[in-house]
Amino acid sequence: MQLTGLISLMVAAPLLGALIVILLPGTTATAEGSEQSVVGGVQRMLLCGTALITGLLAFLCAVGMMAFYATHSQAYMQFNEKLHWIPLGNGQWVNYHMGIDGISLLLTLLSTFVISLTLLYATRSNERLKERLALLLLLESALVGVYCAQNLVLFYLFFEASLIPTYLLVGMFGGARRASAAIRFFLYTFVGSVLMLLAIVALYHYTGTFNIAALSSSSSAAGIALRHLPSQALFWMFAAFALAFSIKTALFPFHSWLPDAYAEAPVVGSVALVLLKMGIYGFVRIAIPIFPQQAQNMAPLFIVLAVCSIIYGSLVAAVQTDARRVIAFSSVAHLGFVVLGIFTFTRIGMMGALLQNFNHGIFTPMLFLLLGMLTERRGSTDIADFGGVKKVLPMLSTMMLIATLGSIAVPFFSGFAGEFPVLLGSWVSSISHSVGGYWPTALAAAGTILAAVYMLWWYQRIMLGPVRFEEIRKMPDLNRTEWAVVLPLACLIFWVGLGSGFFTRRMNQAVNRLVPYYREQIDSSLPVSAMVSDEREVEEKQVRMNLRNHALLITSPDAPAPALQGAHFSPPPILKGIPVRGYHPRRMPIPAGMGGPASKPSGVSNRSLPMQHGKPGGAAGAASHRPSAPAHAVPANPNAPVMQSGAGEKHP
Amino acid sequence: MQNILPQLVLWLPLLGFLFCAASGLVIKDPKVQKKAVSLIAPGVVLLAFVFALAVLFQTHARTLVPLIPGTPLLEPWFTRYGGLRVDFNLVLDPLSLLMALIITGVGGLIHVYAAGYMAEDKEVSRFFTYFNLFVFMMLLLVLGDNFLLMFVGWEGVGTCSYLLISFWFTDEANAKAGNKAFIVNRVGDLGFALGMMAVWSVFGTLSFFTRDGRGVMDLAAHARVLDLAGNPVPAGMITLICLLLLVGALGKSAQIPLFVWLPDAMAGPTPVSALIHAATMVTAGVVMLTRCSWLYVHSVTALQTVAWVGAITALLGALMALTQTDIKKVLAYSTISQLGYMFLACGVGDFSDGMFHVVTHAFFKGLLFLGAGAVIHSMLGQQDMRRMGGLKKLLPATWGVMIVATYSIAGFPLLSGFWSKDAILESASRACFGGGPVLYLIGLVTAFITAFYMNRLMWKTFYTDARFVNGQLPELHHSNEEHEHHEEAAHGKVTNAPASMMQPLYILALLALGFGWFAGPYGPAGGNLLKNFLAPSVAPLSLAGLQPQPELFPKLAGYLISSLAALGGLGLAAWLYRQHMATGELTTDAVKDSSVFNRLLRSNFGFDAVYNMVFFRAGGMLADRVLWHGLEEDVLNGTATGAAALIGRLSLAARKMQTGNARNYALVMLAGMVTLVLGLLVRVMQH
Repeated sequence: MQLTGLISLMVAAPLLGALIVILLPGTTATAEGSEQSVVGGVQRMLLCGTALITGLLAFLCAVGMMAFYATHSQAYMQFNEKLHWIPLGNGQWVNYHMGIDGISLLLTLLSTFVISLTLLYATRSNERLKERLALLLLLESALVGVYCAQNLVLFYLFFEASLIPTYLLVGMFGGARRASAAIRFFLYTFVGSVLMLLAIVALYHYTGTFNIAALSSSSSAAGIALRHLPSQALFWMFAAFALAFSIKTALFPFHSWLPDAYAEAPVVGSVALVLLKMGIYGFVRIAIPIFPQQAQNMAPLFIVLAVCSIIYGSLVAAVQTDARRVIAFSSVAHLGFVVLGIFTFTRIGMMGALLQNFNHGIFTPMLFLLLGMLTERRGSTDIADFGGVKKVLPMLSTMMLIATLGSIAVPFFSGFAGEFPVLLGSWVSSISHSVGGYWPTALAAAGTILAAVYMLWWYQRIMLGPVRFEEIRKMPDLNRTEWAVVLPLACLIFWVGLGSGFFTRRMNQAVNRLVPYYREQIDSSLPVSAMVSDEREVEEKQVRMNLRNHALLITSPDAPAPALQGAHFSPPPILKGIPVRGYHPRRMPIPAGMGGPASKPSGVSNRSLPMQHGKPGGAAGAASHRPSAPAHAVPANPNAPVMQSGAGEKHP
Repeated sequence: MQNILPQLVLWLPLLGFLFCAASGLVIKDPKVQKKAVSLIAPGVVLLAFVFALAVLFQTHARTLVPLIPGTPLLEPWFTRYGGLRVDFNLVLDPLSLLMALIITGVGGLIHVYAAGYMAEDKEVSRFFTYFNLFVFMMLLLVLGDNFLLMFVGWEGVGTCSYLLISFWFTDEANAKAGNKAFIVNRVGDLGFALGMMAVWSVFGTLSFFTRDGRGVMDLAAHARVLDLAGNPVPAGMITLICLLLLVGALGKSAQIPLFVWLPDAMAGPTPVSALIHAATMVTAGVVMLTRCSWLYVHSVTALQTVAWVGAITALLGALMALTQTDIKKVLAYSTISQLGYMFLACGVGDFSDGMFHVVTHAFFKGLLFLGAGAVIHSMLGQQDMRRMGGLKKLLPATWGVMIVATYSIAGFPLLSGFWSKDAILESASRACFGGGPVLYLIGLVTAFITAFYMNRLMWKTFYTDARFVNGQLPELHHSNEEHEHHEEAAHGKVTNAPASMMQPLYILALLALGFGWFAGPYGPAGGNLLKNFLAPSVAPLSLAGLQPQPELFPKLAGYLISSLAALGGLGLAAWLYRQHMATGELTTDAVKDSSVFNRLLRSNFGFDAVYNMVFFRAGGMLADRVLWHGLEEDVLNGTATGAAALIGRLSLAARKMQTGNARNYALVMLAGMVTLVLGLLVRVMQH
């Protein structure tokens, strides 16, 4: 079942909500310094109601897509939406093209869910309520846009759009050092964005398309064009993307914007920052699919940096005196796990990484929200100002304990369901082995010890011990709204911890596509590598069978071309000269550029395409429109319908 | 039906946990809530015990072997992805059933005891919430049919232990002890987790047993361990797996060098010490070794490591127990030492006698802790033996059960501890990899010291003259409440523990007396009941072609020697303390402080000091000075700020060009035009 329009609704609802909130009367924007602003009962209700309803609407859209998502479909994206947007001349357009796959789905669900709760949290105080709500809604809209954007222009647009509300949230409402934190945050990400923009322009220059699907396919014209580029050019483009995403992910040593921004932001800002998962998402949606070989070549470096992130983040977290900074540095460590999992180039590590990415978006906001409730009551974020809180606030402490145990990856809590597969993937990955045998895994796993050290010590200093200050004695426990904010998060922590399958199932196809079998880097000297590849063969055969039975055929960009099945195997050019582990000739990939009339994109200059297939003047996208001719290539032309092609094309 | 009973055993404590956790919401009256919790929490565990017994008899009727390996329980837990698949399966075999019986049986008794012990605490429901959760996690640990479920239980019991050690969290020391326990255990868990990954990379599964015989233990139950493709696994890999798993066992079972958390863990309420830190959780390492015996017998290196770690821990633990003055700390070091015995047994390949000692130890050590708890309860929270003495007259019943437990652990002939300890000593003397006589000697010396320090405890507490004034005892009960007073507090008198606390002690005393005989070599039904019962779960040494060395001396001589060691230790302590009835001290404090040996023992052989120095001082310094202040603040932030400052300065310089003076602009324009024209000229000249 394909529903269209849900994604746009999901993007538009919060945007509309933000507009209404801004336009509603009863401005609360007061001059700097004056804290109290009176908002009337009705106005307040209107404000909060609009914000919550539109935020929830987006969340419901995400839930709806989760419900109707075809788990076993091999479609590259589902719920596609496509409209012409910016004319490029020659009948080409930059499209408004949105779609969703398992990875995006989980992230949209996370963002809409957590932001809805954060909106609820924000309604508790009157202080500049309107701005907070509007900015959060804007952020929600932009985030969802990033995760669903199907071309680079749109991606870049939403990517940048998400920075504005975050920057304002940090800069307008933050703590004492908010200005420097906000500026540093902006500068760092701006450097990354500029690099990414350059890379996007270069990609368009070489391939003539912004379409992510076309670029990440090895059989599309754009893909072929890319693979014939000098490796230098590819390397620099990958490096630009990778640097941009590393900064965004706060990978060591590009992380130093993160602690300041997290700690100086107001609570809603911290949550917003945690939800900026575009770095990780960029790696798995853009950097790795478009430049798989470059990513694989650079993987050892990323594994080293990831392990550094884990150890460094954990050690530095342990010596912080500000409660929020401990969580901030713990984020560096957690995201290190995510990067480690991605660059193991194993499906298990990748899945663990994506799950850990999701987890980090649950327990870190929960920690920040609870900490926010606590600091509101105490008026300080210095750990030394707390002690014995559990005696006075048993409920808040219990919730905090759940988030803490989730963060240190105790089994049955969410953290474990993500970290364990990551470490397992790293243990069997030949890339990890090439870095230093089993040591990267062992060091990363030692990060779990350090996590226990800094989190438990943090928890102890705040919550346990004697009640050290009289002010603490007077603090009230969680009220109804606060329960409503934290309880869903706590439930989600257990849900992921106990039933991670619910969340991983929908990402299976996406992960299979992300780590195709000829790139899965399980050390072939380990007996398990044969099992994994055999099981995978069976699994993928099963999927194909199901698809044939259900006639649910939507071409994935990497689908093998039917004309080549049974033909003599020759490795695709991209595979020549690199060791391919566990390569099975039985399951042939399409040798790039060998499958008949791949159309040449009109925007590509001749010198960027050393090998030409098809007529130079051939209209882009024509091949896929001819019903009789099988389309081997996803056309590079953004104008052409990329995903939807005839049923017979893939399985003759 | 057959599958329902073991499931009930597992789920009942979880139900109890849920009830206790939610009791505050359901029942508003705190008194009623307390009563309900104190009934339900022990009730579910005892009921689980009944079901476990039913499983035992049900399967016993169908011959003891084989039970039901890999009972499917639920849908897959980690759904299959990337080749990993972990099912929520239980294994029901002699080993898991035996452990389930101990956990629910001894655990149930301790729950009953705890209901009395904690009666005056305001947070009974929180206590039983954790306590029931612990029982569930421990059951999951022993019943889980794969490494991952075992690991869930493994970390789960660690978490419960953390929560219970810091139960009285308003005391900073308790909170720190909880952290220490969790963190040191995490070090072990790291080894376990890595071992688990190594297992998966070789066997492609984490299950112990599967119906199609492709579980890890199924594959290991050959003359050579086979990997998932049927090829023999290299010896180095098996040793790596075994050693990594051993690290996990060292942490959980408080063996050298990871034992440092257990003495501090005594900060928790005494029932916690009895159940978690004596009877069940700390034996998880031994259970794991026994479960993985199929792997361990294939690696002599690993076996040797286990044996020597066990022997050394047994000796050092017993030595450290000699100088303790806190009654619970004596027992804590004693537990470390006894766990060393169990590791020694596993290391020499005699896994079933290791488990035998697990069982008898659960009885007598549980009893000792509960007895000590009764003493502490009666003394209004006093734990220091230097403030005790003369309690035999005041607490005769407690004395009665304590003397049984003491003689049992000391290895007094024919009591439980005697049989299990002697079996271990005999196996140690025949260690297949040589060195048997040395291991035997270490074990024997440890037995002597054990008898000595246990009788020292008895004399200091019960026989020597009272070193307190009855009626003026200080109120020392732990509690999170700041101004709570007991009813007895006004009297300051030693009072007998209530009957509900004493009844579990009598049952345990009976078991500590007779179970060794019942399950030992001269028991009913031809003897060796436990060994025969466990046989299907335990790998024989002969599987890998290992043979025990010939006996050093006949069995009877062995019994005689260990009896002499026990009696000698007990007698020496009695003889020495009889001469110091008034003080209860053999020497003065000054003499003790001047003795290097004494100081060495009191400082845990310096383990704590070294760890403090290396991890907290040096590690903290590295993190704080080098990484945080050095790298993060100066280098990284410095670079960012520096870059921003550089841009700022450049723009300042650029601003200077904007003088607002028309002549300057004209000059610049002229210069530009001249450059342009010159450039064009050069271009033209070239063509």
